[in-house]
Amino acid sequence: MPTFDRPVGAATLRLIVNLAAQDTAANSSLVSWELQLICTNGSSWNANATAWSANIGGVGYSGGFTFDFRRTNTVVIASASTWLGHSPSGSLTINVSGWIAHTGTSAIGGPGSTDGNMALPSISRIPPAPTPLGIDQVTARSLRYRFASAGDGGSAIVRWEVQYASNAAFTAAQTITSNGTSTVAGLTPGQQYWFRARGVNGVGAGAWSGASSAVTVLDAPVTTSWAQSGADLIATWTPPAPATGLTGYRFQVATDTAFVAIVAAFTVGPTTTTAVATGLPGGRLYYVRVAALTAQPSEWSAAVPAVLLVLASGDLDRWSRYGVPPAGLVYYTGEGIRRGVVGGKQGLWLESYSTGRVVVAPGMIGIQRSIPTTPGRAYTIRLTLARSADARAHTYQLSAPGISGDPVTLNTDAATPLPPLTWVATSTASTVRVLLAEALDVPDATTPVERVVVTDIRITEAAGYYAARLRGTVYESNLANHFDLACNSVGATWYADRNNLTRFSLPGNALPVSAIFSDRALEGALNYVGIDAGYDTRSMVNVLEATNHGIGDDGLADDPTETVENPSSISLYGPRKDKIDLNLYSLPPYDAAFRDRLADILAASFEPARLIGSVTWNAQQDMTAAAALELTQRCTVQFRDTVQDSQLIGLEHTITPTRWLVTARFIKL
Amino acid sequence: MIIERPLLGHVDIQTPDYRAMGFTLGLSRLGDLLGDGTTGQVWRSLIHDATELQIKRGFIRSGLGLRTDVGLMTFTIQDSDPLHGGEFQPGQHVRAVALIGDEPRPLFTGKVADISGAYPLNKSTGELRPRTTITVADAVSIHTQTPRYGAKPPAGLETFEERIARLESSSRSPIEVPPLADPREVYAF
Repeated sequence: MPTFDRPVGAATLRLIVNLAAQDTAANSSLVSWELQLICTNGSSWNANATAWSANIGGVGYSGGFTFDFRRTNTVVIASASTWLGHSPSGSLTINVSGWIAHTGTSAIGGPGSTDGNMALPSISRIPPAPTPLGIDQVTARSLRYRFASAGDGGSAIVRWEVQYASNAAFTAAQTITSNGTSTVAGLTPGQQYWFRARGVNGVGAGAWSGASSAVTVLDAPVTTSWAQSGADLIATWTPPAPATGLTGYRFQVATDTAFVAIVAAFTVGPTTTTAVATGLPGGRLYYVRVAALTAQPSEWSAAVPAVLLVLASGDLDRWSRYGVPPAGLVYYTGEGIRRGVVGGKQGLWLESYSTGRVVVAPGMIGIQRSIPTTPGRAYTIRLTLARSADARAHTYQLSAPGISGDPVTLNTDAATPLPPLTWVATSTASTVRVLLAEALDVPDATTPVERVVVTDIRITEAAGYYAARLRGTVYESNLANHFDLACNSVGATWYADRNNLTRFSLPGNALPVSAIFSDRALEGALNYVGIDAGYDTRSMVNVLEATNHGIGDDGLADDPTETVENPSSISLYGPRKDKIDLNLYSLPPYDAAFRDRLADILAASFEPARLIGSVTWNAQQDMTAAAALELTQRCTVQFRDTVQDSQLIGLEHTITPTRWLVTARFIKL
Repeated sequence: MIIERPLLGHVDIQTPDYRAMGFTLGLSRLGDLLGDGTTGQVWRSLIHDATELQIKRGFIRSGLGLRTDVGLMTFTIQDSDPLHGGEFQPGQHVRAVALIGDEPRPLFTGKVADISGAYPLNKSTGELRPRTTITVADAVSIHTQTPRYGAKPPAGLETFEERIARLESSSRSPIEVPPLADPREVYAF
């Protein structure tokens, strides 16, 4: 029984406070109190009322009292009881006080007061709802749920309970005990789960917390295949089951197991279970992984064996790499090239990567091919290049025997034709090249260094029978001399035929044999009756002066003259000089044409040759054959043991009423 | 072996029969009867009046090269007076043919370049019997008289065939231009 005493003169002011009752439901206590004045002197008394007041937990009382201690020691000033509410947690501490005014007596005096605090027994309740902290550590089949206590309700917590379900109403929910952190396993992948918690104390189970929810991720796809197909790598996988909420797959290819060096990464749709990695450098190991996507990705698929990408070069049609690659530069294929299809066209891919710093000089590497050619003939190569946008190498050029094309920088990945390159073959085979035409300094491992495709390769032999080309000229003369100039330059001839049509003939040795003249009666031969033969000295030349007519840069005549000699012939026969007018283009790639033509002429005429100059034949032997004879025809002329390969350069018909003789003149081929 | 047989019917000298072909500017003459113009080339034989026929075509060996010479055909016509309505006039087309079966195969074709008449006296009769020598030249003579100034290909160079095609524009006689063949593809990928 709490008693609060305080002396007042010869007396004591006493406040007695007691817990009379508690109402748990109302969370309040009934407090009774009594205010007393105690004095044992046996003499003090006052018939007049003395004022008093009291305060019990905020509830005030007051009044007046009289006392007479001549017949008693204790006077009860006042008493009462009152209900006081507890705090929400069930606790209650109250302040109590009592007061009296001056008692009007000398022994007791006054005024006086007493007070104090009193803690009432707490009223126990169910614990309040805990505070959710959320869900984390989401996997396909487990979640972690956490919460924090909000109090025990005045009674010690007996246990915490967590409840989870696949619906917000917590129908068919599972309830487990928890210490505030619970990892729930055995869940369904791709399923949304709701969680809540509550406490249980001596009073009972508290309220549930608010619900938290999360969706479990899907199971990782299972990679069923990771293999090479052509120049590509293809992965296939089986979808997770269940696949609730599946939105697609994330696909990654890397050159390391940690997937730090990722070389291909993209997302495919939910209905796709195959992905293709293209354009990867050959000769490397590649790793793959796939994740299923919902709101957040699943775990990556389990590791499968890496694949070594071996790029097949295919049928390279005898194209090969040119040059030795510098250290650190690695070709995608063993051949350094591979055949592929680009935009529906066949192409040759030049691909390489660097394993460290690489320095490449212009013209150091490229591709090449040899083609059969005819010496003296002009050829032109045309092709198209397209560069991969990520390639370091940009500039390429064509090359052929004795000549190089202009470098072309490929600024985009658009197909770009290189300027055609023309050359004159000097042998029976010519090697053409496509060269990297820039200096490259690649500082570190880079993929790709080269990645360019060559398409539309065309090599043509120049039109026309003659390899040489004629240069422009301001030669002022008549048409016949222009014909002579052109024909002399290439070895052709021109004439007016039997129908008066002007024709141009190939060199005699390019023609078939049209007639055979013989001094004997042979089947198929024309048996001539007269012959003129001997050493041909008129056309012997060992000093040749040639004028090459043309146009200079100033638009005026540019007629350089060059003299060539055969010293041994001069020493034997003396100088035999002649002149010839030519009209040959003599700049690259035809720079050898003028010199070669002079050499050919001199080689054919530097010594006297035996010549059957003409034969006379009676046309009435075969008038059909007579009518078929024509200038420039190739003929075989037989005389005793001499057989001369000839070209017909003159025809004379002498016809009388009874005789028809034909005289045919020849040069030796 | 010399064979001598009459060549009449095997060799002929012919000129276009403009009277059968219709009016031909520069060749038809006033008073000629004209065809309807629909007939093609019709040749009229002159061999019965001719005596010796010479044809000479070919090249002249000019040092190292061959220079195309003008082809000529000459023949003599008896009793034809060029000053009094003779058969020929300068520029007239004439040809010599071999007749193989009935098919004429030209030996020479050209235009009359020269006509010279001679009038020798037949002392036994005291008559002047005209003889006319006809010279026919082929197209080479035309080309030698056709001026040509330069040949300027736009690219500064050209093939032989392209050159002849360029020169053809100046020609006044038909030319068979060597074919301008496309470049021959020798490799493709």
